[in-house]
Amino acid sequence: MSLQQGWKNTMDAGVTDATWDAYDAAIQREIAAYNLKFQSTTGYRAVDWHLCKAMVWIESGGPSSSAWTGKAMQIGVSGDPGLGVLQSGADGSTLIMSATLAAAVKNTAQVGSDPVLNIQAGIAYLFTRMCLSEFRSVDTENPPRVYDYTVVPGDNPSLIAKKVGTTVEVLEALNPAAKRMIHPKDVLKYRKASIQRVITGWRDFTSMTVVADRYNGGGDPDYAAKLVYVLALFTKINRTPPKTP
Amino acid sequence: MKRILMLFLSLAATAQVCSRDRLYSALLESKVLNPDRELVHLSCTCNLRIDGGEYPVVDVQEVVKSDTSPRGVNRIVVLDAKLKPVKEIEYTSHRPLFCLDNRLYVYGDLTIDGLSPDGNVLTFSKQGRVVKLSHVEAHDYPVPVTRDRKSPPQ
Repeated sequence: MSLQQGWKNTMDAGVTDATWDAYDAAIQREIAAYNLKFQSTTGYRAVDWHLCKAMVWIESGGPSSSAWTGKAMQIGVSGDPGLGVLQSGADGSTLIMSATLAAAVKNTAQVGSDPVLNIQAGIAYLFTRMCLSEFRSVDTENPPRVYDYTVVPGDNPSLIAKKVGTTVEVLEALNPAAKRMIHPKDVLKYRKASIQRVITGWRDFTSMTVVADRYNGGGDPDYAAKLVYVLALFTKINRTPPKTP
Repeated sequence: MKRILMLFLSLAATAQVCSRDRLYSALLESKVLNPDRELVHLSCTCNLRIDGGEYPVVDVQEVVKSDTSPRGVNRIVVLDAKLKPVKEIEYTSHRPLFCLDNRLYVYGDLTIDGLSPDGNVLTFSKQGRVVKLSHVEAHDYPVPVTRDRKSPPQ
């Protein structure tokens, strides 16, 4: 895929112009927080903050564009599904965002006018799109305690789970015989539990094809090539970044 | 004679369902299409047969207008006989390929609502509202080779 020379020239300007580093500190802070938060989740490898810096350059078009001081990651652009996903907590985004960010993104106008918030929202959307999750039975007491329940006529595992605040999965795990049949006066063991969405893995943040596919959604066929190009530009930069505005 | 008439009516119905004008109007009315986005692709891939009914599968690709890199919003939309959407499944590059009864085969493994597991075979039930994913290797696609076909893929 060959990138347009005009686009390359725009990005190349960032190598010698320090204003393109304006959001470095904000991006570093955000990525460091996610790296800490998700380090113990299955399949997570620390994300390089440069990836998100490259995305900001690509999404905004740089300091000379109006997006640079507003929708720097294009979150909240009319017709874009990203902000709606974060605001509604869909697609597992509640597992990604901090409570503070989840509250902040409710303010659509602010997301569109505050570039740092827009970048935070963009990074949260990226992580949401890169995350693998599923609904599982999760213990809701820490440490978990085991209780007894005596079956009464009319019970079934689903009804019992609702009554006592557990899940069918827990009932079946602690009472293998209950998978086949239960009878009145049977005593079943259970732990308090509920079905929750949990992170089960991560897509590969080092694959630009995957990042492009997940974040850009297949809209720009050059997106992966653009990421590779901008990341290569960063190796030519030799300066101390300014503070975040 | 009755059979020929039935076949004619069935073909006419399929042709009507796959009319892009009708699809466009129906999807706009049901707000599947977003007026703020650019519609770059709209096609009817095939018809699923679920619980005895026919359910057209539509491939919709929109892009969000942008001065830089437009985001894609691509979806597989399953419609009922009245062209009302019963299921929308987001995809990026996994476009729909063909239907076989209540199964839709797509290119590559996708997830639904970001949930594991992923798969390239979507099996529909309950009037298209419930879908389960599974995986089949590309060389095991259950379709005859072109020379053995008497009709195009469903």
